[in-house]
Amino acid sequence: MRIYVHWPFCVRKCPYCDFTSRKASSRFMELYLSCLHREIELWAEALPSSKRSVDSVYFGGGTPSTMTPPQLESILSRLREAFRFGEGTEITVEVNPGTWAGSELQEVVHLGVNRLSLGLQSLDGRSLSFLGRIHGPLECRRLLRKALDLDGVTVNVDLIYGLPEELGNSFIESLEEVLDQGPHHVSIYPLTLSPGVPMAKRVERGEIELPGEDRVAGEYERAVEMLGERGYLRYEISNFCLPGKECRHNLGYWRREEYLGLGASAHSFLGGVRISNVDSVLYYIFSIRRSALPVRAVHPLLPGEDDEERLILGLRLEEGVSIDLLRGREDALSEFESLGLIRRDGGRISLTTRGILLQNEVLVRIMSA
Amino acid sequence: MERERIRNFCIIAHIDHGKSTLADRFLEITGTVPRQKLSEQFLDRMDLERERGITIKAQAVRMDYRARDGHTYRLNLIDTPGHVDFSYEVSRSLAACEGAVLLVDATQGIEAQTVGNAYLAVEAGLQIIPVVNKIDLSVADPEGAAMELAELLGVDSAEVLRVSAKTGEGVEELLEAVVEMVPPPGGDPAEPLRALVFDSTYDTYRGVVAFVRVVEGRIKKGDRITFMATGASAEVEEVGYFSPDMTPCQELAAGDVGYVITGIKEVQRIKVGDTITERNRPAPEPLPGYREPKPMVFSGIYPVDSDDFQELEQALEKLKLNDAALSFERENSKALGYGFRCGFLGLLHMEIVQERLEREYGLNLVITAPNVIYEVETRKGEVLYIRNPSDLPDMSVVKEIREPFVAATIILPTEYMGAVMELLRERRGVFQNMSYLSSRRVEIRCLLPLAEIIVDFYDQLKSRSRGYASLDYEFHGFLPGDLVKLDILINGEPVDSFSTIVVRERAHEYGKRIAQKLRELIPRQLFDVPIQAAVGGRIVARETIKARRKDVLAKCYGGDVTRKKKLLQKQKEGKKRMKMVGKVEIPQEAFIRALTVTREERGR
Repeated sequence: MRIYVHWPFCVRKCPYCDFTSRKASSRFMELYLSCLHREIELWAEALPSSKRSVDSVYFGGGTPSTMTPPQLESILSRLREAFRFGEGTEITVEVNPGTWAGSELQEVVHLGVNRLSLGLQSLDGRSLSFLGRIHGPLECRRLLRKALDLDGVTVNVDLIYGLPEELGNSFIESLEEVLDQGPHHVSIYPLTLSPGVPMAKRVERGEIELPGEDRVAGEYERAVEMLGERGYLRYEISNFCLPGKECRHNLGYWRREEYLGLGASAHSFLGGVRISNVDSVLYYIFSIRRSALPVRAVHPLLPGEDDEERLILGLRLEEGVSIDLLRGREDALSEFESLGLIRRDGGRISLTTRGILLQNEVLVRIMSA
Repeated sequence: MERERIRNFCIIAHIDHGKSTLADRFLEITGTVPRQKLSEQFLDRMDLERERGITIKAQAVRMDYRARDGHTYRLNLIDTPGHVDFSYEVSRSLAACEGAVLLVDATQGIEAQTVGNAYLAVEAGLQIIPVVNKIDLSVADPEGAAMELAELLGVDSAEVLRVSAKTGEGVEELLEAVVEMVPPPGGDPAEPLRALVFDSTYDTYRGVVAFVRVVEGRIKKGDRITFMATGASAEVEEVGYFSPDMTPCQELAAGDVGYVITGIKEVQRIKVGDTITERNRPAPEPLPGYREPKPMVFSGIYPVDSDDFQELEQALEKLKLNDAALSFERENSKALGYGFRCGFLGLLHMEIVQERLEREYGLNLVITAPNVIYEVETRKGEVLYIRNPSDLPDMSVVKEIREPFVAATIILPTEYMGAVMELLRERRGVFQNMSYLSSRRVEIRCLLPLAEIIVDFYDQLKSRSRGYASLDYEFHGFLPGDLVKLDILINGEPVDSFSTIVVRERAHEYGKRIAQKLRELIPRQLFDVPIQAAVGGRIVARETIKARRKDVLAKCYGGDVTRKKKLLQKQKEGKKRMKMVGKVEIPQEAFIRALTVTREERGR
């Protein structure tokens, strides 16, 4: 079993972000924390013992580093009471620059955290202020160095590409600098705006011009090259690591292993059923207070949906999917192969860099074939 | 009533020069319609016409007028259409009259249409009564307008009447002039029947109502009659006149204007310009001037939703019941599916039909940019009429392509001469002559390819003359030109709907424009897609839609798989609405926009 804990609080919400988060206020966070404790208990009662062995825990957000280490400890200790942790259980916390600037990193490592995912996003001041981050490049560099100084901790760095053209080459330069520091793991994400987020409105008003797909694709291709030259392996569309440093938690999502999501807007996959928690932090608190699981929707998978998910998720991975999944779609495959979008390796099919960039189109065509 | 007291006349005027208001005053003064019942512009029946301020269907109203000489005269006012598309209908209406009131707006002076119709009236041998209207307006220049009219007709400007149809000033004097100047109709009531059909309308219950002018003989209920051009035979169910409602009467005799109902339901059997005669005592010759309505402008009309095809077909059939000039046939386009190739008299006719289909039948339509009809002579000597450029045979068997030309009259202030001559040159106009109407205004006559007129010519003319130029034209004939078929190929596949016939020297420019438009409208594919414009096998323009580079939602966050699935599902649904051209997926929307873009750009 894998466990995801959503911490929906931020110092300030970034204008491009579409995830559930609120302004970090200590009273609200205390309330939410007590609800998380209760949710853990509720699930512990509901799940059979066989599902209570934990391979990984992931604290995501929001900004989990708006928690104090004792708050984090309170969650971890509740989880340890309700579930069985092993020696090698991977415990990741997302940390943003501008938080945990003191001894917090040390403290959480003592609590058992062995993986830190740093939301640097960029090392360029103009880009960071465009993204509405609360920190500048200095905080990024300081956090990265501190994290890399910790023993026995795997460090990931998040970077965003696809920024407006006027910000120049900042993504490639940031990546260059990050790679010089040698983190174990790097994730790169294109700036993607859901309709309705503040930055999308600015785009609509013409105040911001997003780059065209050619530029965005070019940045990704350049990044893939640079990471490859430094010995980072791409194991998923957006995720690169030094050998053996994959994020086991995230791999679990893509391999369709079971996971339990705790907190507002968290998602679970249990017994072949996809479960979504309520998005709103308030509703989450209300329903926990009534001792009900804060579930918004339960989607049992329909026949065929299993294979569809295997494709959607599996093709994100470098290991790809078994060719058995694509029986009867030989025409589509040949076309993709001739266009250089997929690669066959033994009994497996995976996407090339070009195919990765066109992943949605490839999937839709396979699904319609 | 004795024929000596009958006056058949019409009003000729440019759009907005006040024809309908004047007709209203006539109806009021003669007591035909009491003032309070006069809805504004009584003679224009259809809403659409009222909105556009134009008359489509000619009508005839009988008015009894007690003149100053103490006698009562029967005045038949025959309304004429006011647009170049309907010049044949105008000529038939004129043929039903002995006189014409030539009405000119005192604030505008004469316009091209005034001149065109005045010539038609003179040719038809009508007595013309020149009148200047709107003298009540402070900006009016009645003297200037009268001078122009006098010049045009070769009369003294003092003979030009001055009226205000709005206030009624001078209208009685005009009626007196009609009585005095317009000759009574000739024609012998004892001769075999010859009645001219100058218009018709369709009544759901009674069938076709033919508007007629009896030239010789008599016609009454129960008569067995024949339409000489179409050969249709019928028994007369009713004859009558409009005053202004349909009023049945005993008979119509030589000189009379009225209507005939026969129970015939198909407008195609009762055509404008046809001659009615008695079956048992037929006239030896029909009246001169009959012509089949000849559609000159064609466009494809397709339902946006292919399920509406049958509804569209039914709507077109219904429209055809009272629009004999409309023609349509089934057509299948690679891009748009099943639809119709429709023929129209001209652009206005086309727009009226489109608007009626959309408004009266609630249909959602794709209407392709219009093209003209082409006359093609093959090497074997066959003559073909090509309504859709994609039907053009291979150029190797074509000897000559001829396109329709119109004889155009343009009237404009002299200061815009240069700009307008330049426009005529761009549009391949063949200058014929020019004459000054006054020191400030000039009349240009030239031949123009109809194909050049149907693409924003009128708007260009207006914009280059700041709205002062007016245009009138009539079909002149088919003239040969260095014309070629331009095909558009998407990824090597020709797409029929984009084929056009163009002048060879413009093929590159035109092809480039379409190719660029398509490059903008067609979404990028998984591979580079060339868009080519070709004449014969030769590529004259080329654009490339570069292959798509990125279509990916990279973040699959916190295990939210359902969101990603929904997004892909939506994308999958979108695929179903794609049309395939070879391996290229093109959204229906892009096709529609590319095919209708010329129409939009015309900005009407």
